[in-house]
Amino acid sequence: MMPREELSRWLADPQSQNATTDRLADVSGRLKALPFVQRLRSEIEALNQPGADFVLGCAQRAMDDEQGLGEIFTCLIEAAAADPYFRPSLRSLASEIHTGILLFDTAELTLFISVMPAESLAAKRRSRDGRRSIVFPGSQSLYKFIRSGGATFSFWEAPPIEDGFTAAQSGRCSLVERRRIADGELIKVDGRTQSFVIEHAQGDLVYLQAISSADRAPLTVEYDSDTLDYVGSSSTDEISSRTQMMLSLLRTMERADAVPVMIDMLANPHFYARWQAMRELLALDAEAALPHLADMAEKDPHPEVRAAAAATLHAISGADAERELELEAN
Amino acid sequence: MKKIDINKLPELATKVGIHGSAKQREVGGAACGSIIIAIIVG
Repeated sequence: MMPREELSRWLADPQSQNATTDRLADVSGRLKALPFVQRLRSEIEALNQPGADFVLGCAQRAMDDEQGLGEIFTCLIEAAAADPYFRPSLRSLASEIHTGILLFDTAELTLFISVMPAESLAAKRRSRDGRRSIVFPGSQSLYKFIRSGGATFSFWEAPPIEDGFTAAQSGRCSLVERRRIADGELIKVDGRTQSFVIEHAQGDLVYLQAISSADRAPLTVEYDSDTLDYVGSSSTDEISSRTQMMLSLLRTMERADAVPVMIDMLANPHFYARWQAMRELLALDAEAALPHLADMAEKDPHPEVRAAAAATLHAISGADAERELELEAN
Repeated sequence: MKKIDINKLPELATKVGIHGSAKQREVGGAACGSIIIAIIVG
């Protein structure tokens, strides 16, 4: 790389670099202190039971505060104009079809602004290969399309994703409507039953998106975009996914002291995490697992977990258990 | 201590991938960190 003269000077001058670092810290502090951010934080914290409707209500008020949003960008633009090496302290989000920055991020609410260029959408459409999914994310979102780009969306619905979700009863997704989106339009998407697809856009889309983690479904569910049949699901809970991987590691390491942790995980709110914890526990210490297995077979709220636990219990108690399950005494 | 071969234990009929994993590619959209961007392109 051959840096230009201005960059060469900056790279050779620690004082200039320090000034850029100081400016970054200064802007970061000013952004946190902006009334827009303070007000949104206060409103979220004041919610006694932050259900998704209330959280997205706060987000909508923030989305309608054009002056407050403008102050964020004024702050960033002034800093960038004064120093070409300044970079916004806000986290950036980017994919092959959009670029955005995270404006607000707490456990209850994520708010970001993005630009989706029409040419990226067209390129994405042209580069299609293989099977594709319509995804129902499980969380509730509010979108405000500041510029709609003359886009046409199709709106989809699917059976609700609930705690007792099963592949067998997942049904199919179906088209609700297809229509053009207007500039300034607000769209609420309950990702437990709803999704949308951008069918076509004439220009760039600029939009705010707020995602509430409250009342989130346990799963993100995919349906095939051609057949509309159920394809698969994944966890919406990052913590339980990480915990499952840790339990696998502990079992592989034969850590007997992990048994209490695995027993605790049997009470996880997500059915798939409970059964995975039971499998790990049986593989680590079958004797410690057995009382919990019997309990699970009888009382677990999810039908597939009860069935799997009952089948395992039956196999263990059978005459051929030693051979069938390769029970090993260490 | 008795152990059972984990591969011999049943799995649920409803298989669930870990957070952020996808069975197929989305019609469009992206998973950014822990945020699933629920925008898909037809």
